[in-house]
Formats: sequence, structure tokens, C-alpha cells
Amino acid sequence: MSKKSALLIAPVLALAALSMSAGTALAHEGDTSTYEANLGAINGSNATGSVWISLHGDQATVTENVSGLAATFDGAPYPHVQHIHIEGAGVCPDPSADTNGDGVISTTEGGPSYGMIGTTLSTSGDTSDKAGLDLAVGGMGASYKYERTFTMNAATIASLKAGKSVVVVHGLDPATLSAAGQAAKSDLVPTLPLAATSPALCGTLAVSQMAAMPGGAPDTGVTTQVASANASTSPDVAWFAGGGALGLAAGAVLAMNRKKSLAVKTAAVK
Amino acid sequence: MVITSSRRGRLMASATAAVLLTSLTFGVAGCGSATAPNSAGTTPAAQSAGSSPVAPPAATTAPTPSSSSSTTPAPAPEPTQAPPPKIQGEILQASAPVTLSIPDIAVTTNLMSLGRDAKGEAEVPPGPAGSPAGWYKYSPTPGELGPSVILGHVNTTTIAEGVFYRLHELTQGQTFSVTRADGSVAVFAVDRSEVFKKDAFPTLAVYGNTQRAEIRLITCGGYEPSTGEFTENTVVYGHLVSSHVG
Repeated sequence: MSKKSALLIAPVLALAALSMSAGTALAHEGDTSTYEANLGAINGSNATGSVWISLHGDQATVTENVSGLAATFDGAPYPHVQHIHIEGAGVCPDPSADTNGDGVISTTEGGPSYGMIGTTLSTSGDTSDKAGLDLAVGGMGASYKYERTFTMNAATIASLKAGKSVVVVHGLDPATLSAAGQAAKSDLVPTLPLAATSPALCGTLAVSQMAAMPGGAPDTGVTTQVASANASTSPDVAWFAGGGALGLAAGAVLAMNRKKSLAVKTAAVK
Repeated sequence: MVITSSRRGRLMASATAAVLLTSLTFGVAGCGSATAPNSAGTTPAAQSAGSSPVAPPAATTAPTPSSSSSTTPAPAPEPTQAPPPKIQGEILQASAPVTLSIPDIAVTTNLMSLGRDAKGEAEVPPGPAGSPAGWYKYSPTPGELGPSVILGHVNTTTIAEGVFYRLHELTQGQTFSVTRADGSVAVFAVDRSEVFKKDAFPTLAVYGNTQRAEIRLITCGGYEPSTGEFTENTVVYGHLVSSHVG
């Protein structure tokens, strides 16, 4: 069995060499532009995050990773509404923005810094400002990854290009607030505590120095798994690697393999 | 067991080669060159090609240099993480990279151009031994403002030593150079080396904007024998310290 697997290596080498000489000409990324922001904690949330946006025409793909946010609210995953704010100063508020002195920069108090809601980074449905306070479509829990492609409205795109768009993630753990802050009601939704709608993470979107942000971790290891002579577990070659050129080679091996009634597995390396 | 009944005669003819290839393949054992402890010894090509007496079992020792070097930033003239987004240091015009030379780990390689695959992930160079490293063409060229990204395999389809097999050995202050298409040579100094779990790869921390000409040399680590996959990436961060005409 092991030799069966090993016999596949030679064609793999040949095909990989071919694909290498063929180069890696790929479709150009076109007029896609990329924006990015590191999200910093405000109001003492101690959360962290990052977000990047690939914009092609009016099609935006937003990828966001956050961690360290408030985890639960009334026994359920804490809903964190999140937006791209626009048409403010294009910055995140500093403590001086707490004009009422309750120790919490409310969403309203942050307004002059980051502006109004241009886009709601909702998990489904409406992405306009109208969905801005819909807790059901917020990010959920302490840590999450958000990725969504949607049509971005013109105002947000304009602000993005002007460097005036700011990602804000809302929702604080009430226990972290001052007594006054804990007692206060939300400036936006009076039935909610102030903590629920106040900003926890903030970052100004900047043009990325990357023309296109690579997704995921690079597959810079060639996984070649061959059954050892004394192992009966994996008789097949699991030869795979990410990327176009190698994928081509792997595909060719697979096709060739069918022809020879051998089993080769190709898979994506994560 | 060795030769299955389904084997075609044509393939049988290459049985001898297959035996050799099998032993070589054991030596590969994936990204980290980790697995079989006897693998290096059974791989004659490994010793000549790799010239690495270290042959670290990557799964366990992955990134030794990182911890020691990551604490102190490079003794560069600029302040660390200065708040104002001011460009620091020398910045070169765009010019595609042609070769990469890292004397401290005996690496000299051409650089191919790498794009993105259908899933949006960065392409990687081919797997065979001797394959070059590659420059991710949607990143800045080495010497330009921002994080230029160079990817290289830690291993190969045949031998353990990929072009970046010894990348994890790099430590702060060591220098390496990229020769560019315009004939200039960009010299970089290592800032630090870090290892990330692939499922927690900090995209913006690695690929995010910088205020000077920086570079990322990236390979794999953390080979997991039970799955044959690699669980980590080693990332060497560097910044431009000088340039000259090649």
C-alpha cells in the first residue's frame, strides 16, 4: 500500500514543475480597494478587534474579528450592534467626549468624533442606519468573527474614500461602569441601560497598503502524508497545498489517479 | 502489501524509484519536518540540500527565537509605535522583487509572483524541492511603504528542507536583502519572529498598514502528525534599513 502511494510522487513532481513554469498569472484584482482598521477599546471595555473591507464597485465584503467584549446580557449572548459611522471628524472619541461626566462616552457623546451611522454591520437583512439599533442582528457574545458581503450605500462609500468612516462596536458590561454610568439609561433606547448602547470598540478605516488582503493563514507547508510501511491507517497519498498553481497540479494528479484506479485525496489545508 | 494487486505493470517498472521516493517522502512529513524522528537520517538529499544540522522537530520546538526577540523592538532611531501616522525611514519606489538572500540561514532564492486563489487566500509556491519563495503581488514591493509579504514553504514534496526551513532561526538584528527589478537592493533587518496558530492568524497584525517599509517572511510550522496538517505559521517581521545599487 505504501508503495502505491509513493508511486504518485513522481507525477506530482512533474506536474508541479509544469505548473510552476506556467507561472501564476491570475485574474487581476481590478478596481477593488481595501480598507482596514484596528479596533481599540473605549469606555474601558478592554476589548480588541480588527476589521477590513474589500470594496469592488458598491459591493463591500466586510471581515471583522473581535474579542473581549461583554459576553452575556440577561443570560443570553450579549448583542453588540455595530456600524460604520460617517460624516463626523473621522476619529474615535477620547475621554473628553464624556460631556456629562458620568464616566461613559455615550453614543451621542461620541457623535461629533465619528459621526452618524452610515452602515449597520448587521448579521442579516438591512444594512442601513435603520437597522442600527436592532439588537437581533448585532454581533453576539464576547468574541466573534463577522464576514458579510453586501451593497454599500453611496454615503458610506464616499466617507470611506474620504477617510472619514469609523467602525464602532457597541455594548458594554454594566459592571465595568461607574455607579452613575450603571444607573443611567441609554441615550438612544431609554428602555435599555446606558451600557447596552455605548461604544466598546472604535477604529477609523484607512486605505490598506495591501491592494488585496489575503484571507486566512498562508499554506506555506507542503502536506505530504504517505502511509508508513507498518501503518494501515492512511494508505492514500494526501497531497495537497493551497494556491492556484499547486491546486492545478493536485487536480491533474487526481484526474490521473482516477485513470489508474488509485485513490488520491486532495483537500484544502487550513 | 508492498505492491498491491491493482498495480499496473507500467507503474511496477518504477518500483525501485518508488522505494527511494518513499523514503524521501518520509523525510518530508509535512510542513514542520516534524514527524518521524528517523526521517532526516533516511533522506540523503536532506543533508546536502538543507545544510542544516539543526533539523528541529518543528511540532515541538517551533519558534524558539521568537520569545527572546519579540520583547525588544529593533533599536531603530524612530520611537516605537509613535502615535502620529508619520512615515518613518527610507522608502523606495515600487519595483518587483527578483531575489531574496538571507545569509544567516543560507537562503538564496528567486522570488516568484503570487496572487490569490479563488477563496481569496494567498497563493503559495509549488511544492517540489528547490522551489523558490514568492512575493504576494498585492502587497507592497519590498522597500515600499507598508508590509511586503514573502511566502516560502518550510518543506517540500520530497525533502524536509523547503526554502524557508530555517526561517524560525532568524533573530532580531540579522539582515537580509531583496534584489529588485530596477537593480536596487533593499536591505532589511529582522525585528522579531512570531508564531501564530493558523486558526487564530492575526490578519491585520501581519498584513496591516505600517509607517515604514516593512517586510514579512512567512512559512509554516506546527506539524501535526495525526492529521498531516500544519497548525501554525511562523512570521518574521523586518524593516528596511538601507538600499544600494546591486
